[in-house]
Formats: sequence, C-alpha cells, structure tokens
Amino acid sequence: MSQVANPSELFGRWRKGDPGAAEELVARVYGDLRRIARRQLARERVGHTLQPTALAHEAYLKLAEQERVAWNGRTHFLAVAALAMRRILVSHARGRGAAKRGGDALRVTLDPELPVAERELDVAALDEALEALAQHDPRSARVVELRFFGGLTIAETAEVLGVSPATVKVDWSLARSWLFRQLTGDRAGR
Amino acid sequence: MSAETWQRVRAEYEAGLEVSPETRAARLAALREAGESELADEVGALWTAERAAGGFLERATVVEPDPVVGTSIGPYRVLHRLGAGGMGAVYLAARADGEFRRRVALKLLKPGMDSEEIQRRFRFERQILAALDHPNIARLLDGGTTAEGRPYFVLEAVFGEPLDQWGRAHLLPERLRLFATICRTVQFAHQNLVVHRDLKPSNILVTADGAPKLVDFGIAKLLNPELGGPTLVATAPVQAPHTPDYASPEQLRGERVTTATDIYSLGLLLAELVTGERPRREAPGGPAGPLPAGDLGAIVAKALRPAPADRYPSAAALADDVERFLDGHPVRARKGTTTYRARLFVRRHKVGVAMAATALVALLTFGIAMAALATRLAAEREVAVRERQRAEDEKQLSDAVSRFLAELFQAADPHGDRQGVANPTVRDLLHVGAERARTELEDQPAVQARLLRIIGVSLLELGQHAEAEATLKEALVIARATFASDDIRLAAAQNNLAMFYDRTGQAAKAEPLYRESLEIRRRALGPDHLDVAASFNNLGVLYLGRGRYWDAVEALEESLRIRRLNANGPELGIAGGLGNLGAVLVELRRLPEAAASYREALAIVEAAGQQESLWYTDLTVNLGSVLVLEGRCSEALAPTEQALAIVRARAPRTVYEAETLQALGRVRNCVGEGDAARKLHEEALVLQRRLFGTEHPKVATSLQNLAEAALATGDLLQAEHQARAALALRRRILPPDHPDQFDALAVLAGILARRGDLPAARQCLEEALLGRQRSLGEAHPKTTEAREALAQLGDSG
Repeated sequence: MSQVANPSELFGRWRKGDPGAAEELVARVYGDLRRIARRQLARERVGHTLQPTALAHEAYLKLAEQERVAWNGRTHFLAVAALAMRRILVSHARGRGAAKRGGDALRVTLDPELPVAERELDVAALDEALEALAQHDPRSARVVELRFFGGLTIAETAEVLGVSPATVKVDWSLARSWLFRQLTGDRAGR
Repeated sequence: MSAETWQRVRAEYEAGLEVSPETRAARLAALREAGESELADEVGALWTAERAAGGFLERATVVEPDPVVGTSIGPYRVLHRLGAGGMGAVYLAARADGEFRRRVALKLLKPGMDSEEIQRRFRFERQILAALDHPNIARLLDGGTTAEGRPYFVLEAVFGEPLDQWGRAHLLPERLRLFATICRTVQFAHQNLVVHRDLKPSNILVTADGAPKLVDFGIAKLLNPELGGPTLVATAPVQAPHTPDYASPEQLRGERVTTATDIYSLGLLLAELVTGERPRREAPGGPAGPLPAGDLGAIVAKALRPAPADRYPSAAALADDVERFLDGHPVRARKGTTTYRARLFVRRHKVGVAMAATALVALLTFGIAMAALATRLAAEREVAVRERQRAEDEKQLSDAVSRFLAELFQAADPHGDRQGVANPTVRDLLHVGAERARTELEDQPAVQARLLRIIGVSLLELGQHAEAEATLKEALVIARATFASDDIRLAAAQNNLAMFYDRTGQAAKAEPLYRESLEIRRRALGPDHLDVAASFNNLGVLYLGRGRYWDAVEALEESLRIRRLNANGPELGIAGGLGNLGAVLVELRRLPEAAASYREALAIVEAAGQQESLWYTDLTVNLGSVLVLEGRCSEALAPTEQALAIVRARAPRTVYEAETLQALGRVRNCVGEGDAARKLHEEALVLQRRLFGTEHPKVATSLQNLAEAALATGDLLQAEHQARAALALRRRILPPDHPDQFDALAVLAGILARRGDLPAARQCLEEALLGRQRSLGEAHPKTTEAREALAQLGDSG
C-alpha cells in the first residue's frame, strides 16, 4: 500500500537530507518538465536558445494549474524542478553524446556579449564539475543547482537551504569562480 | 584538496571579494612570503576566474548541439566549442593521430567564406607564420579545408584572460611591463615579415603565470587582405566588416597596412591599460579621450599620430620608451614632439625650407655647415614620407641621374675633347660612369647609390662579374648608410646585390638579402606592388636553382598574380614570370603546363613586337627543352638554332649565349647528332667557366650535358669522367638534397651500365632513387624513371 505523500511533507524530508524524498519529488515533476523541455528543444534549431529557468517556471505554472498540487509555494517547487531540470538537460546531453549523432553534449549559451571563452558551456561537463565541487563544498554545489537550473533568487535559495543570503552570495561567487576555472580551459591548459 | 584546505581557500577567497585589486595582490604576496604559495596560487586563480567569469551561469540559455563537435577535421578531433564570432567558431581540438593529446584551438570559418582564396593565401603565408616561433605568440600550427570546403586554421591553444580584464586587476607598473613585453613580441613578428593587423585585448591573453600570449597573428590578413590594401577585389559580402575599435586611421581608410598600423593599435592598447577605459573613436582618424596625461600621454600620442611615419619607428622603440618611463628616464616621445613640430613646420612652409631648417637646427645646436644642414633636413623629410616618396623628390633624383648620364655620354663622345674614351663600348661607359659616380657624387649619396646600382646590374648583365660585385656592394653600403632600415631604396640595393649573388652561384648569400628586400617592400608598398612581384619572382628563381621547386612555384605564382593584377594587358613582366614558372614546371615534369606557360609568354612577347629580344630567345629555347623531354626533338631544332643566332648577335659571350649553346646541344644530341652536340657543349662549358669560374652550378650542367653527348657517341671513358666531375661539383656546391645531383648520378649509372659494370650502376641508381624519393617525392616522373631503370637493370643483371 503506497501512500502518496504530500509534496510539502516530501520537501521537508528532502531538506532534512532524505534522498528518497528527493527521488519521489523529482519523479513527480520530471515527466512534465521533460515533456516541456523536449517540445522546446525539438522546436528550436541549432543556435536558437531557450532559457532553462524559463522552462522550470513554465512547468510550474502548468503543474499549478492542471494538478492543483499543494506545493508549499513556488520556491519549493522550483527547488525540486531545479534538480529535475539538471537531470533532464544532462541526460539529454548524454543521450546525444551516446547517439554519436553529431556527438556533442547539450550546451548552454551564455550572454552573447561576453568574450568568446565565457559564452558557451557543455551541460554534461557542468554536471561533472558540479559533482566535483560537491566533493569540496556540497552547499555551494546546491546553490548552483538551485540558481542555475531552478532560477531561484539569492533570497529564495537562502530560504530553501536555510542559510543567510550573505552566505549564499559567497557560495555562489565561489562556485561560479571555481566552475568557470574548471570549464574554460584551466584543466585543458595544464 | 582536504576539507581543511578548502575552508582556508574559501576564507581567503571571501576576504578578497569586496576589496581592491591592489589589496588582493598584496594579500597574495603576503601568503607567498609566508610559504603558502600553493594556497596563494589556488586563491589567485579563483580571483582571476571571478573577474573573468562575467555573467557566467547567470544569463544562460540552452542551445542545440553543434554538429561539428565530436567529428574529425583533418587529423583533428573536435572536443568542444570554445565560442563563436563573426568569422565562424573556435573549437578545442586534439590531434586524432598523435600519441600524446596535444590540445589545439581550431578556427573553423563559416560556410560561404571564399575558401579558395583563403586557402591560396594560407598556403603562401604558412611558412612565414609557422616560423613565428616565440614564447609569447600562439603559433599557427596547421590549416586546411574540411570535406565540405570550409577553411580552418589550427592554432596553439591558449588559456588566459583577455588583456583588458587582466589589466583591471594589476598595478600600473605591472601593466606597463607586460605592455613592453607585448611590444617586443610584436617587434619579433615584424622582423619576421608579419604584421598582426588586428591587435586588440581579446587577441592578447595573459596566462596564469602572467605571460602575454598574442593570438591570431597574421590571421586577419589571411581572412581579409583588404584589411589594409587598396586592392579591393570585389568579393561577396560574406563577412562582417572589421571591428574598427583598435584599427588605425589608414586601415579605416582602406589604405595599406604596415608595421606602423600595429604600432597605432599598440598605442590604443597602452591608453586603455593606463586609463582602464577603451579610447572612443569620434572624429575619423583620431581617438577621443580618455587619454592619459604626462609622459605616458606623450608616448600614447606618439604611437597614435595620424601619419604612420610620425609614429614610433618600431614596436621596440615604443617598448624602449615605456621602459624609460618605468625607469624614471625622460621619454623619447617628448623629444619626438619637437621633431614632430619641426616636421609639421617644414611641411607647412615649403618655401624657404632651407632657411627655416637652418634656424631650427641652429636652435637645436647641431652646429653643422648651412648647406649640409639643408640637405640633411631634406633627407630627414624624405624619411618621414618615405612610403609615398614625393613626386618632387623623385623628380629631383631622376633629374640628377639624367644630368649625370648626359655628362657621361658627353665625356665618352669620341668627338668630344674631354677625357673621353675613343669608340667606347657600353662596358667602357659603365666603367667610367661608376668611377665618376664614386668621385663626383659623394655629397649626393641617394643619387650615388642609385647610379651605382643601375651600373652594377648592367655590368652583371654584361658578364662583368668582378666589377659588378664591387659596384653593387658599394651601392648597398651607401644605401645602408643613407636610408632608414625600412626604405625602399635600401630594398632595391639589397635586391640588386642578391641578384648578383644568385646569378653567380652564391644563393645562400642571396636568399637573406632577397627576403629582407621583400620584407621592406611589402611593408612599405603593400602586398600588391610590382616591386613586391619582382622580389617574389627573384626568390622564385632562387628556389628553382636550389631545387626547392614547390616553394618556387608558390613564389612565382604570387609574383604572377601581382603582375596580372597591375597589368593593363599582356605585359613583358608577365611573360618573364610565365617563363620562370615554366622552368619550374619542367623540373616538376609537368610538361603540358610548362609548354602552356611558355606559349602564353611567347604570345605576349610577340604581341609586344619583341621577336628579336632575349626574352623571345629564352622562351623559344625553353619551349624547345620541353619538346626534347617529350621526345619531339626535330620540332625543337629550327627555333633553337634561330635563337642561338639572335643571341650571338645581341649578347655574345654572355650567360645567354652559354645557355642557348647548351640548349641547342641537347636538341642535337636528341636528334642523334652526338658529335655536333659535344662541340656545342664544349663551347658552352668554356664560356660558363669564363663567366662563372669553375665552381658554379651552370658549369656542372655543362659537364653533365657533355657526359650525355659523349655517351651518345660511344665515348664511354670521357662520358664517365664528365659525369663524375658534374656529380662531384654538384655535391660540393649545392644543398645536400638538391635534385640535380641525382640527375648526375642517373647519367653516371647509364654510362656504367653501358660499360658493363652493373653492380656500380645499380648502386648509383639506388642512390639516385632514394634521393629523388626524398627530394622530389614518390610520384615525380624522375623518381619513376629511376625506379624503372633499376628494375631493368635487375632484369638484365
């Protein structure tokens, strides 16, 4: 007899570190997010862009409308969606890599005004680098996941993680610097 | 990294978040002093990344995969995309076939760029760019075209931050020192014939250890030679116009690009490094603030002068001034201001320049006699405008030359009563002319150098080698003392002496002079000038003599391209170029192309009504040699005989006669008249030796011809003797793998085989085959010939 847990309750367990809760939460949103993401990705041609954070927000609105799930607010949903989004994008990227059809991983394009080296990054590589960062500093890695994949603000991230916004700011800065170094050649350069 | 180390890194990183770059630098220094250099490295790297990260992860969008990633381009596997720009995309790639995974940056151009044209330029520039071996220059490693015809370039991968970003985190003295290093690097490139043309912060990366790396050297030119050059060939607008942020006024006007163009860009970079802000371009031709003040301002201003000639003469001079500033010495730019003002003054007051100059120089207390002053100032002004020598200077010079020649002819007039020579020959006139130029023109070195040069070349043409050498050397010595190191008149003197060296079998001495001369001409005149074509032509001829046939083809084709570009129709210069190209094609045994080249050239010479000229005989003779190689010997006989008659009348006892004798000898040998052939070759050998001495490639050619003719008449003893002499001579004087020595070996093998000494013949042929495989390649007909001869020898032995 499986009991369907309330999302808020699941979220509370997740925050306390229950991996099962995270799995279940993700399972609830994953399918919808993936559908949305697929539709978007299929529609876009090479070089056209779509915002991962916008995706998450679109998914939230849809879920909120259609399922009337009693999420404890947008923040909690987005926190879960961030994790789901990371998985969707990474698996999409890896699937591509595995298919060897063009072979490239899904990339993320940054602001086109930025210098060349900063503009694009490989989602699969970002995922790996995030794993590596989590070895040193799990909270900083979570901050990236929430802010980058979930589109949460500093305040929202602080709320989800239960730390002060100032701490999130330092985490975010440190993680960005560390990841930037990892992803734009420092490794390749050595 | 342990958790504890991470905590320390984090704490140091956090402490540096809200402070100035200076405080950060001080903190890193303190950590290093405390023996914590690893921690300092880690934190420093993170701070660097923090500055560089910009909007990283904050403003991200997802794109579909790039289909190029994961594929192979040439021998490179594309690993991932680093970014994209107007021209195409840049990828990180690795050699797919290498044992060690060297990472490279691969620049793939957008579809639609004129790939053939870019490839052509690339082939030509490749050697020069690949030679740019400098620790601060990212090397161009390779290039080619993808299966779809998109050009790509492979460059050394560089990981660092762009100059502007790096500058924001470093102190002024550090920035200036780095800037001086950049200047010296640019100087190195300039000395190697390469102008960057697109120096800007994103093309100068500073690596983690604080060293600048200049990327994309010479690439701008490969992609778009119009970036500086008036010769706009109408091409489809396939690329975005050049970003003019760091472009010089002459680049914006579409004028020729020289090293001064890079110096202008360096000036803008310096301004930005000092003020932290990119100078804006407001009025056309001039940057608008913010510009630095004081001595640095003076340095920037000098680098940014609108007229290229008013800027620093070299990147090294700019570096010197920056270093002078750093050392607290007065900068030259200040002093330059006076000269600059003086020049402006001279330009504004063309009338009475001599007077003004006198006053000015008196002011500067140089203390030299008045007449000399005027000359010197005029000379200085010439240097200032050297790239577009004023018509009046040119006229003055040519007036002086004609006056001199008129007097010379008067002096030589047999009816004249001065120290004339009775019934003078051209040679006598030249001799007298050189003497007079030496003694009477000492105070007009520009005229003197030019006359000596012209006389020297004429002497060379007449086969008066000793006097030609002395005269041409003298011309160069005077030119070096008189002209600036980038003056085209110096280039002319170098070119002429190099011609002498090349003609007299001293190619090793000729090549650097030719190259130097080419460099000056390209810089001063742009890539499409006829003088540049002449230099390329001369280099091509030199390469032909050195057995570097592919280099020769490239140089000669470039020369022809320029000549065709400048021609209004068929012109003799084009015919000359085609003739030289034909000669290389003969060596490469591309006989139909060679014949086509010669025929086109002959048509041009005929159209010009020059059937009696040496141009015409040269081409006829060469076309005959193609016919001989094709086995159509009798067709070659009449035209070659006719050519010899003309040459004997017009240029007796010269290299032209010697070569025509040789050519006719080969034709006669080919039609089975071995004895007649031997006589012709003997005559040629005597003449070659008289002209060039015993140690000259042309003497070896004569010896080999003699050996072949002797073989045809059955005189095996003489044949072997001559062939061995030819071989020994070639081994002595030619570069080690020069194809000609393998020809001598092949001929010797034939003689030995006829004599019945099959083992010795086989040994010679094997050596010839190996040598040809090395020097000419597997597919060359001569290689095939040697292989087949060896097989035959095997069958009969």
